[in-house]
Amino acid sequence: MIIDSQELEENYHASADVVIVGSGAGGAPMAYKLAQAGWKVILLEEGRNNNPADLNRNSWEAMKEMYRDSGMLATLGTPSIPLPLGLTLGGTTVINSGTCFRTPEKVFAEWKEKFGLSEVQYADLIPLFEESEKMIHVQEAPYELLGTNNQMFAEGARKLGLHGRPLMRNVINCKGAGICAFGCPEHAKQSMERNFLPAASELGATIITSARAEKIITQKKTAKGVEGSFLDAKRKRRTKFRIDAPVVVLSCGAIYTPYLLLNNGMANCSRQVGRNLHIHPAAKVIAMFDEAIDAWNGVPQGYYVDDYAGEGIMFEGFFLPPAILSFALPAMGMKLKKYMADYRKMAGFGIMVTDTSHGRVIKGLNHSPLIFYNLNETDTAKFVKGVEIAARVYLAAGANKILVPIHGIDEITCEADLQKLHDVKIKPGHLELSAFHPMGTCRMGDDAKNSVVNSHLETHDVKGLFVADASVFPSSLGVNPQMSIMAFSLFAANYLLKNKSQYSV
Amino acid sequence: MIRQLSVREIKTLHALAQCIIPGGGQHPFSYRDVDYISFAKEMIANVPVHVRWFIHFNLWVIHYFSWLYLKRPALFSHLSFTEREFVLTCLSKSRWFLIRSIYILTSALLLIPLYKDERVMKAIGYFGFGHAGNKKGDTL
Ligand SMILES: Cc1cc2nc3c(=O)[nH]c(=O)nc-3n(C[C@H](O)[C@H](O)[C@H](O)COP(=O)(O)OP(=O)(O)OC[C@H]3O[C@@H](n4cnc5c(N)ncnc54)[C@H](O)[C@@H]3O)c2cc1C
Ligand code: SF4
Repeated sequence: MIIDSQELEENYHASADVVIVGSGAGGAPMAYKLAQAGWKVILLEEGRNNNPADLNRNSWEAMKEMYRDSGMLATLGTPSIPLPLGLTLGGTTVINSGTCFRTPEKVFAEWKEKFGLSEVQYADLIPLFEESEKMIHVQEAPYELLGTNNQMFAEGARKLGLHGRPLMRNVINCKGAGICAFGCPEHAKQSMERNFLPAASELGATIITSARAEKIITQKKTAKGVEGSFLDAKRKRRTKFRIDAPVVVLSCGAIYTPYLLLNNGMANCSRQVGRNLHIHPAAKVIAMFDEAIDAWNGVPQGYYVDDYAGEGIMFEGFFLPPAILSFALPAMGMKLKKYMADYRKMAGFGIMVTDTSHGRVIKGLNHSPLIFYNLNETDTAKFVKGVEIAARVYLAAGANKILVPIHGIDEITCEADLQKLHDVKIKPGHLELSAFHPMGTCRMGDDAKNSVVNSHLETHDVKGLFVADASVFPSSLGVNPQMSIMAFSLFAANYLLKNKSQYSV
Repeated sequence: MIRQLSVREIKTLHALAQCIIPGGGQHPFSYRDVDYISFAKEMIANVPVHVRWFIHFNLWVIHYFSWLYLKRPALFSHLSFTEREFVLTCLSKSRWFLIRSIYILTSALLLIPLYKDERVMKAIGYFGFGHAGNKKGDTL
């Protein structure tokens, strides 16, 4: 059953075998797996059960409805970086681009070396990747759906001898409508509310939307349930609720899980809750061509180039509707109007950097955490290199002008202009970035002194309290994280199924 | 209780709009065509408290301290168009990120309502929501 809390009585009180908080890439597979085994599952989601098709394909409406804080969440630091998160049934998967990568083996090996992770081997994850990929219909983006935006970059990359491929995506009958990040209006993208969640519901799970968990109930360092508030249509507290359960799984994402734990003063003997935040920051490079590209036509993130992935630089397609792109361009007044009048001739590609920088989430005001993050010089240098490569690719593809996200270097029109990237020392504060993949704030590891959860994702400090979301990754993954989150969540669910007697389920 | 835009802030926004989304140029739509004040109010009502403070703070800084770039005391809304444009260029090109972000966030309050307007989207040729238009053939 998927039900909005407004349909439930005041001071609702229920009990279950497990209460899961959050319905994104971490919470949804957990709910499905446990419900499949006959557990009584209650899943709480703060957002509503939105239907992207109702949002009239309007990016601002979608942001208001399905993004936390209308998409205005950002890090504090140099530079300040917008960090959008989903607030809807299905979590951030509803507003993501649908790109699917398995955890790189090299990254997993580094985690094992540094943090032990004694209970999990890469081989254990493979069937879990397969299970998730089957459930969410992962397939390679067909070339004809890539649109000219991705094809231009592909052409430039090929001329430079770089290797690219269409991305693997979780879609059925994608129409290339080009607004994945604002909710797929065609219901083609297979985000959590289209598969794991309805399947869990059919297996008996109760999924309550507009329900915000606020307090984790414990007794003698053992989880006992969750208390919180049901929200009204304006997202204000309507009434309190309480769910009793011997297993509590936090899947609120890498910002809100540590925030909840910090608010509860819980699971933090290691003092690592909220620390080690990696965000996998991204920069946009915009190219102008002589002819119309109509970059919104086709899958926005449909192609990637990974020749420099070993150095922590990944190239993936992107494009944005005019309202959002307009304030990302380095111009004002008439010059900006001129750029926007050429919107049809623009193409865009993103550069994502595996960050060695790290930040921290702390308690803020009024149900909003504060997120601190400063980019370091090493990562800045990776961005400069990435921008130079992307600009070369676009020049090779025939672009007449490239707008780069570096302060003071607005336009690149020829190879000689690339020298500008080396003429001045580019500092972190000179970059205009955004980020979409926060992780690391409740990292996993064998040592309770420097990690928050063990490798089956149970907190070291509180028996029965699990974290299954992007918070648990000890370092930046270097690829889009949703598949890794799903696989680790299923791993923890399998652990629970094997050990249920320990939790009196 | 959320603090909404004051009369002074509304005046500053009008003065900003004339420079950031001016009339004329490559497409006909400008500050005259959109209700950016309602948009700013909606934004203020929907963002977290620290972003709300930042919006008020930015408008306050622009209103009272723009003259620092001109070296003659005057409130932003009292400056000529050219002077306002100069101040905004200085803010947007500052090498200090915090100063640049004053410009970025404030300009978003004006640019989003303009470019989310269907008439403007059509004028720049964005019809969105189409199907994939593969202009490059179908082999890699
Ligand atoms: C624009 C964008 C594009 C992206 N593209 C990709 C991509 O192509 N591929 C990819 O792999 N990844 C992508 N990502 C990232 C990916 O979607 C996320 O990493 C992933 O969804 C995170 O999963 P999660 O379970 O950690 O958190 P989320 O999916 O964010 O889910 C957390 C859920 O918990 C809810 N919640 C939080 N606090 C509470 C509370 N107290 N009570 C109740 N509910 C609560 C939230 O409302 C939310 O629904 C993208 C992200 C963005 C923003
Ligand atoms: S490209 Fe369009 S149809 Fe395909 S998943 Fe994205 S929004 Fe949906």
